[in-house]
Amino acid sequence: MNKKIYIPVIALVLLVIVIQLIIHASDAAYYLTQLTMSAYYVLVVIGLCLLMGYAGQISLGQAGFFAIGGYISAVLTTYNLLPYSDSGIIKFFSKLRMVIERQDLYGNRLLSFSPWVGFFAAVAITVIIALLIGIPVLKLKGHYLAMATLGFGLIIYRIVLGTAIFGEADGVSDVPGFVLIPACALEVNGSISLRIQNYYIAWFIVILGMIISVNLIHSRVGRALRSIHGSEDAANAMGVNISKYKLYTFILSAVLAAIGGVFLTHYNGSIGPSEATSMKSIRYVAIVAVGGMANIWGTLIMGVLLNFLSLRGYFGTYDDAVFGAIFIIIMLFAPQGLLKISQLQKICTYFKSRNKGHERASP
Amino acid sequence: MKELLLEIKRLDRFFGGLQAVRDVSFSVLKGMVKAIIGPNGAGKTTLFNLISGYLKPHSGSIIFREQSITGCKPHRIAELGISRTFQTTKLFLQMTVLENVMVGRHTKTNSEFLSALLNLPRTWREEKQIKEKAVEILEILSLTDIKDEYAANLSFGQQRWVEFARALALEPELLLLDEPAAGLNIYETQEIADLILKIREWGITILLVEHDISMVMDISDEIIVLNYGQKFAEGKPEDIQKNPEVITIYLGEDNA
Amino acid sequence: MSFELLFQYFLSGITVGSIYAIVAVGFNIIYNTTGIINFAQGEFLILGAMVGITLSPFLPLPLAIILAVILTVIIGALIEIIFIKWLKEPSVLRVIIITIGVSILIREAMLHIWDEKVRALRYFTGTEVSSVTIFGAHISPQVLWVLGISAVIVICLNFFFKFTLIGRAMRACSANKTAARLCGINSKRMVTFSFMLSAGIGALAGCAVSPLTQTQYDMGASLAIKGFTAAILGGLGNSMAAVAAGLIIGLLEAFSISILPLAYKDAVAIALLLIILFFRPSGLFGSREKSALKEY
Repeated sequence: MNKKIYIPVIALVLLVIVIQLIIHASDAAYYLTQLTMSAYYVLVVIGLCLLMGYAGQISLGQAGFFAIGGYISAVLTTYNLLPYSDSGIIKFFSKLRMVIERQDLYGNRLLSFSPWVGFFAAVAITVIIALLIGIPVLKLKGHYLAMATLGFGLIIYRIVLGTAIFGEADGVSDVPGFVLIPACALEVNGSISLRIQNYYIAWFIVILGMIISVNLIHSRVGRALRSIHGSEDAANAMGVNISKYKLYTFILSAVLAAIGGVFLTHYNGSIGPSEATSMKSIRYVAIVAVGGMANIWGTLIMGVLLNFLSLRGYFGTYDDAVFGAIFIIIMLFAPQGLLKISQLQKICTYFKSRNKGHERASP
Repeated sequence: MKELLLEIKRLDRFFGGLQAVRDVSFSVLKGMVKAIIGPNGAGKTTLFNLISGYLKPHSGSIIFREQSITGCKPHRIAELGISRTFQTTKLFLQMTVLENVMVGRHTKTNSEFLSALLNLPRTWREEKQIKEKAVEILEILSLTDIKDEYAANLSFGQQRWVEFARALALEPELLLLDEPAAGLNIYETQEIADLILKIREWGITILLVEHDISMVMDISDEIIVLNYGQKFAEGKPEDIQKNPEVITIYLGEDNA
Repeated sequence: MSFELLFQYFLSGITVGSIYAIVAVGFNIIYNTTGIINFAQGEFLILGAMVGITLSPFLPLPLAIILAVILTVIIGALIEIIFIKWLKEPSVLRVIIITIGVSILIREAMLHIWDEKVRALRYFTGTEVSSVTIFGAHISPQVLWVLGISAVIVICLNFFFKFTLIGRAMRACSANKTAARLCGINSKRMVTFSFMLSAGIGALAGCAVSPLTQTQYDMGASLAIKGFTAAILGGLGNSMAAVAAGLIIGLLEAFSISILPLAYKDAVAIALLLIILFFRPSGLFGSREKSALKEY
């Protein structure tokens, strides 16, 4: 097995720990909140990077999948089932501990699905929607694909904005924390006391996401994806089932976005329609572009950096404009991305060849 | 008696009102080099695209190893053992030469999406085999020196060779070559001709479309002449060379 | 449903529809000369209307509108010159992202110049309460203005492309860029010109519809996607069909209100877009034969 591919992953693990220690030492714990939130957004851009950078298929609707994940989990975990508590199904669910009772903000009794049910339902529904959308959409190319995915995102936005169960313009609030493992009190929750724990949970999930992405990229499938990006005709001639791989990658990216949505919603305790706007989708694309398209590590770095700066309000009222400007500047001057890996490789091969030259020169 | 590998029966293909391939039938025996020649617009590339699944015929059938592949998707046809190159070389430019050839091993391996995500032991064992085989092929074609170059940085002639290596990585039964000598100078053309003969010795059947008549005459066992989408003549190189009508369509009335 | 009500829906349908048609025509003008879909097309309408609104208190209305159109045309030209012109054979993905970026920048610039208030240009004739009665339905004279201006734009464009030298040169560029260049046509200049032209008609349409639908800095995106739907429905590149398609979409939207909640109004057009893209990317009026040779 090629263990070299995991070196950056190990570096990331160390970096995550070091950053936490630095923040702890410098008494600036409030940074952890934005770093945690950034982590969940990073999950979305990793998925998009696989789809856009590797398989070469643009999606301007990733925020739609993020919202599907977040909203489904939010609704299931906040919808009060108390009026139906006597029905057989609910009793059955209670027995399985899929439905749990808690108190809402005003101290009323509330019976709702557990976050794990919300999580799996969100993932399952995302897979189904990605499948249904992906089959027709991925036949399209270029402008058509961009517009179709943009259209999908806009429809999701309009639906959450216009449907009572999704809270219309207000969104869904009072979403409970997500108890991952009750035994060791591991909980995704935005409360200050759980800040450090949540930082590690979020980054643990990102690291898992990175590991599967790295695996994929360095596999036969990853190579096939890049070959699709290079030339669909030639990939086809090599026996690569283009539509199947595009679809699987699309679903993977959708699921990663949805998982990001689920966890961030439980962390924040709410989700609103602003998460589903096309501007959010465009941001994700901008991050992948600035990260270097086919470069998940560049995407990771830019994803953390830009989301962190944005969440801390450094861009002020120019938040969207910053992303628009990033878009243009990158595409005008460095369409391969700022962290262009092939340039680094060129430098490496240059030094290697120089070394070789020296060896040859010295008898 | 040699075994029948590919059989084309009464193939038709239209583009709007234009009939690009009209009632074409022929067969390819195992182990031979068969060439398709004809003037520009004779339907040669269309015929290739029909065989390799990039276009669907309007009528007729294509039979490969006694199995109909008419209307199959290109990737399916590749899986069955037909590999091809393109008129305008289509390498994966952002990948290295080695990676390009490794993609060629796609049909010979089968670890799928999920096992790739989890990097199961089977996946990385397979990955090792893919790499070994790709290196081996590059060695045979003497491309080892450039194996870590990006395909985009290669010269035109090198790209053509890498495309050959990639097509051979599929270990095909039948290799379709779309104008392998296009854009090459006389020496490079000779090298490609030698390579084609070498490939035939490995037991791979070759069907090629070519403009360079002298090369075709040198290397092919049989030649088909297409004109206006129809089969015009078929036979051994010597016979085709002597056929006065072929000379007419190629060189125009005056030279006949 | 009474006849008057139906007629009212019909009129509101073709009014917005004609605006979608103009956006679609704007898409087509640029697409035909460059093969680019300009995602900032919707912003041209809003920008034109905003400038018109700002100038209208100080100037007579026609002059304000003319200045708004001229300014938008200049901005259209600048966009092309700064962001598009010097790229050598850019990939589709690159151009998509650039024009999206441009649309965001224009939108954000408008937000900072004009804030997020909803504004409206004053009515061309009469006020918001004045109405004309046609077939028993009361309609605002502005509706007639919108329809009239859209019709004039479409007719003039048709005339322009058929009979003027520069129009013919633009068509030549779209048919075959190299051949056009060999005939001495400066194809680069034609691309700039196509951006100016579609910015100009966008600004004019934006001004015309502003009194009815009002104008806010972020309305461009939804206009753009509906205009794109119209362009696709008509078959990308076919301007006459796009006009018909724009009207169809406007009507569908208007009548959808009577069945679906108002909040889903925008979703109707977009769902239609997806359906067309899935099943007939060549458009309602495009031929399948031709589309088989195209890449979607």
